[in-house]
Amino acid sequence: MAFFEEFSRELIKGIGKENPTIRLVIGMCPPLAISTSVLNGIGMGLAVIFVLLGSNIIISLLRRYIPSKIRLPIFIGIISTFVTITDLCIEAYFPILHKSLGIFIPLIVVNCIILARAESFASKNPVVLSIADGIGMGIGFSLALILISAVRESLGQGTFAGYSILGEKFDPALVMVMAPGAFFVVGAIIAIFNYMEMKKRWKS
Amino acid sequence: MEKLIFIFFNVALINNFVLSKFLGLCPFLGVSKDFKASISMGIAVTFVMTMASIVTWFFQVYLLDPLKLEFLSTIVFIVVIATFVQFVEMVIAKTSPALQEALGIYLPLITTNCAVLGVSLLNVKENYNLVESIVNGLGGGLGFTLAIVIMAGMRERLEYSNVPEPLKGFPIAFILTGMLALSFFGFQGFFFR
Amino acid sequence: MREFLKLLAILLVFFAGSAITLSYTYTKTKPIIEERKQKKKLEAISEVLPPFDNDPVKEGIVIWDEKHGNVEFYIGKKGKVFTGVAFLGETTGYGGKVTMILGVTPDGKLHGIKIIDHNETIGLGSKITEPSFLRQFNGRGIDSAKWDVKKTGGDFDEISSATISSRAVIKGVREGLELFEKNKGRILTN
Repeated sequence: MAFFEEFSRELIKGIGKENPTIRLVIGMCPPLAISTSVLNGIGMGLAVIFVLLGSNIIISLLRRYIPSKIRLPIFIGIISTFVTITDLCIEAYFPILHKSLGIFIPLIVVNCIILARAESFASKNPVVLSIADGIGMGIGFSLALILISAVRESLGQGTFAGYSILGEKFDPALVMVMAPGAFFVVGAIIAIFNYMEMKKRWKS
Repeated sequence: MEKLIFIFFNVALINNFVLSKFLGLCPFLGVSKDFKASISMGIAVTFVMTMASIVTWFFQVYLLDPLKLEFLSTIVFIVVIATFVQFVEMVIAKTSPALQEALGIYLPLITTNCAVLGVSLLNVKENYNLVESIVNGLGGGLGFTLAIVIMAGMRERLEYSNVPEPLKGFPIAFILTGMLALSFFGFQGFFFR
Repeated sequence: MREFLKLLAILLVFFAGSAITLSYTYTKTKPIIEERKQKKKLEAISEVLPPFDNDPVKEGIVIWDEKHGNVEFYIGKKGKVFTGVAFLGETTGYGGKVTMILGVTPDGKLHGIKIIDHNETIGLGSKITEPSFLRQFNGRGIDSAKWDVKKTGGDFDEISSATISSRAVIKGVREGLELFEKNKGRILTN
């Protein structure tokens, strides 16, 4: 039972209080760049979950055999291997997604979230917990991405995952799907979460 | 020549790395609180981006292309960039203490800066030759410097203004960046005669 | 020194492992990616050329032009008769480069055009990809049109609020037709 509790704690922290995008504000390039549509958000989220899970598992398994002096090059090597696998598979099986995510797939390599999890969690914890951590962080990242892209897509194009939701009369604010809109929406979302957090603190 | 000028202004202003391509946001948000530091960061990034464009170009054209190992470019580039940054650090530490003081702490951060890997990958994607790659790296770096310096100027003023509590820190920084991105739209259409 | 060699060896083992994994993935995915790229290229070519029954890519030639660099011309033939040639064109729009594929018949008239890649403003300039805008170029030759938008005395409708993008496409088509005229001799004798 204790084990189960620990597992779910590691799983949930990435979604909630240690959410990489909204709480820690790290690895912000993809959430801003590819959040123009919900489908992009889901695709990017899945890619990051796969890479995070893979690198967490391998690094956790091999953590006793990685000398600490050269751990960073090895982490980067493992991460970029998973990223390249993801890149090739998306290009082969989801060409349209590959085109709209563009260089942001290979750039997952330098996404701070993944290296940070490798360094601060997977290299110090057993495999099962690292899996929980990887999935949790990945889902937290994906949910944030889906939230941002849902706001941008609905305001900017009046659609959700390609389906029209705001009706014919809605005049989309194109700026939302362009670069400035990304910054506005992300800023506003983080501010809203900050506000909710503050309100909770006042109450207690 | 015309193409080089176009590449330069396109990457520096019209499709600015930070404001329109969303590359290099970590240092942009992290270091733009202080005006002086932002200039150092800008110079360091410009230097590394330009040099990385050159080094990775040679690796791509003389190693990966002939051996048909294009799929290894991500992993090779990141290793090459990391090694190169380490090397520059060593050289600076030995030769110029003043430079080390100014750039020292920023250089290691640059390894995981997506603008550097991004420019190398874009050079390959656009099929740029050596000179075009250099111009792309240099222009991208200068564009980054411009954005981060403007941003630092704005954030220093922000210190004296009354920002609502939930907006303090990152949210207001994002919103300011959004406005900056909006004003950079003015450069679009710059190239049409 | 000994420790250094040990670390180096460990590093090499890791990178060898990743290289093997990646080559395996690459050999599995490469054929799928290549096949789709070829198919897409052929699709784009057949969209802008009159009907053909050969392989335009195989029968294509590469010509060097001082303004455009190396240009690949894909030649369409039906029953050994030359029906048209397709090639890529580039132009500068509002937000950067616009890439298009042009199909030209032997008499130097445009048969079809498709925008392949662009960076124009979503919702405004991005309408250059719409057939309703592109259709107006079909059948035009280099001398049979005034290459500008209507409001400045040309022959072509523009997309409202996107004059620069519209002009960019007009310029791209004109330059493409000029390129064809210039190299007509070499293309047709191929």
